[in-house]
Amino acid sequence: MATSAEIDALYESTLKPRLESLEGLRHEVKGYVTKAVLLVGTPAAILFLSGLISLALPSSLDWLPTAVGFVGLFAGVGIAGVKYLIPGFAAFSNYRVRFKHEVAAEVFKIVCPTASYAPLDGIAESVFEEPGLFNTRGGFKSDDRVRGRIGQTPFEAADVSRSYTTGGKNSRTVVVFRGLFFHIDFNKTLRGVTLVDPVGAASTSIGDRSGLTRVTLENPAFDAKFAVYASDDVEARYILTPSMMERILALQSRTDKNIHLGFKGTRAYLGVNYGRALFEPGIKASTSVEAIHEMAAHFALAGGIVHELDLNTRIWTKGVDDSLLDAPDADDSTDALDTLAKQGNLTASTVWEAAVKATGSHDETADAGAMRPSDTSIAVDRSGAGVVINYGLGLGFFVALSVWAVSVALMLAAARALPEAMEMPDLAAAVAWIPEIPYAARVAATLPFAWLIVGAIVGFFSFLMWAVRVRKVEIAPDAVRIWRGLRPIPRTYARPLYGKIVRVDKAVYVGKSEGFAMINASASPMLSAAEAPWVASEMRRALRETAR
Amino acid sequence: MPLIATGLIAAILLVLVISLYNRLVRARNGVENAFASIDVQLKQRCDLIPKLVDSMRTYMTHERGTLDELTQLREKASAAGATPAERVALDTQMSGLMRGLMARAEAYPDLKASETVTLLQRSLNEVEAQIAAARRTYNAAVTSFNTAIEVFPANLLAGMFGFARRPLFEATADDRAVPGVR
Repeated sequence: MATSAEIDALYESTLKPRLESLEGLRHEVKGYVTKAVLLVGTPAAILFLSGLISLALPSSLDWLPTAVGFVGLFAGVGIAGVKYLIPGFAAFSNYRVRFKHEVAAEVFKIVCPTASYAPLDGIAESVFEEPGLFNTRGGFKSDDRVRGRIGQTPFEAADVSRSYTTGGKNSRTVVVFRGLFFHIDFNKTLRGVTLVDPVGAASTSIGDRSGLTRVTLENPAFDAKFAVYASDDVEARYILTPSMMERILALQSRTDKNIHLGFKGTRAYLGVNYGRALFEPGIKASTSVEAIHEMAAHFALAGGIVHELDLNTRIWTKGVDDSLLDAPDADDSTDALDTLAKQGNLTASTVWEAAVKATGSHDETADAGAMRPSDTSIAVDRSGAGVVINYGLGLGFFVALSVWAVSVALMLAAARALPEAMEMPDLAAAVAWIPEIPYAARVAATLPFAWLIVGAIVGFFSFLMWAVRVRKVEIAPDAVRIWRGLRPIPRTYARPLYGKIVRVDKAVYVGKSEGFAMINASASPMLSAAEAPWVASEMRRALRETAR
Repeated sequence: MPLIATGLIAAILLVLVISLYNRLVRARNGVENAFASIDVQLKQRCDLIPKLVDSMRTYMTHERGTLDELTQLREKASAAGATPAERVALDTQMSGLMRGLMARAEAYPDLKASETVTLLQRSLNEVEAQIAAARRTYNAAVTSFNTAIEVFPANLLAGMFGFARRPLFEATADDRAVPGVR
């Protein structure tokens, strides 16, 4: 165990410069978080205080704060998600990984020189669940694994988190366990299972105790702090000797946290519930020397627990069992993104590419041999300077157009009928310009307000469906041109800025050649499963053929 | 009407008495069960002692007297007809002698190096730890039994059916200390 002065020295000599070199990354992460919070928080605050703000406005404008809040919130969530979420995630992931390798690992080295530290590996979930100490509900995460031998006793310890969301209307997150979890070779062999629960633990933390008997021990201080459940009460006392109870009590009062212990087979399991993740870098402020000291104390606890529970006393018949040192990692994923993440080399575009890849359709080579489906009406014309792909307008376009026309008619008729139905004659002048629409007027008169809303919503979506529907794409040497809806003039995407074809399932998009974008320009309507790969491969071929 | 009421009260009383009596019997069986588990461990230790004595005899030339005494005690304890109380008394005596021997074993480096002796000592420690646990379980059972027969109204019933207070195992300082064998 390193002294406090040694840790100070390490901080000054090694950690401080390293932390300073990580400052850039930290500011980047903090920037993303701040921007996202502002973007979402400001409209949320406006919405929350809309009642109060309205008081300051003339009564004709009292709807304004709510409307601004709503629109702002939607826009804020959208923009924050697109612009800050992925780069923020990538930056944080790199910051965290570099912090663990460059800072936490150094602290560990001087605190526990005989053990090894794997910051990104954890204890296996099966190990965590073996004794049945905790509620089995919820997701499991583990990292910062320490493994080695203290004296002759093999042990492993890791930062473990288990929590679940209750769901329903008042959904909240319940933390089952978050803290240091130990897996130690015990010095006695056991036939059954003995569990020691802290009396103060939440019932949502504790696992199922049916089938076990409650054991009352003769140490009143211990009984006041812990509840013991065992399959065999003699064995519980065999483990929990008077001195063991004292040691557990001492450990509890020193950490001042809920301590859970389980004994099963040849192993002891121990959880110190801190209620938060340990060994993580600071985001708000740089990691302080105090935080480094705290980290050293947690590592020291990991290495000291064997001594504290006196598990190096091996005077009984059980020998030392090393097998736990070869236990598999919690996460053996060999995913490319995972590997990059573990190296601290994540970029926004790699995250994005992985996300797109997860939809299973970004692979260019997969589309390479796609043939023209026999039943398609899409025409490819190579006669001009560029390649023209003509989708035509199709049935979907006309259906959308008709639905839109009907919706608009109903909406207008409803608006016209509204002043009379609502008994607000002042508004009559505002709708006087709307002519009488046959049929629609009769329908709309039944429930004008409802028809107004339905007409507006359906009209909006059907408008989108026909107005932005891709009709024709031309891939020319200088640009990609896309005709949408009924507009005669195409949108131009200049090359070489644009020049990448992305297929996501049954639709094809034109993206920027370099880097990545959250939103690519659509270059096709919804196609059939056979058409999409063919169109994508045709477009890629056209891009190659016309490239300058 | 009064007849029915009296009958009802009598029935309720009877049910109460039966459940109380059953509770006392359960507590007493708990004590006996706990004692049996001590007995099992004591027997194991008795079986271990001659082996240990034999392997130690080769090294501990100056402790002949103690070793012989241990053998005799062990024979007495495993003889048929020894009452539980006698066995417990003999066991306490043997424990004392064993501890003395273990302490003096430090002076015999050959003995400490012997693998057989180390193994036997480990087994002995194991049994000692098991005995300590069994004794504490016994004491816990006795305590809950004693409490059960002394609280009102069970104490009335306990007197009637002859449930008597049981003595606890005295936890000596020795029980806490396990001989240091490495």
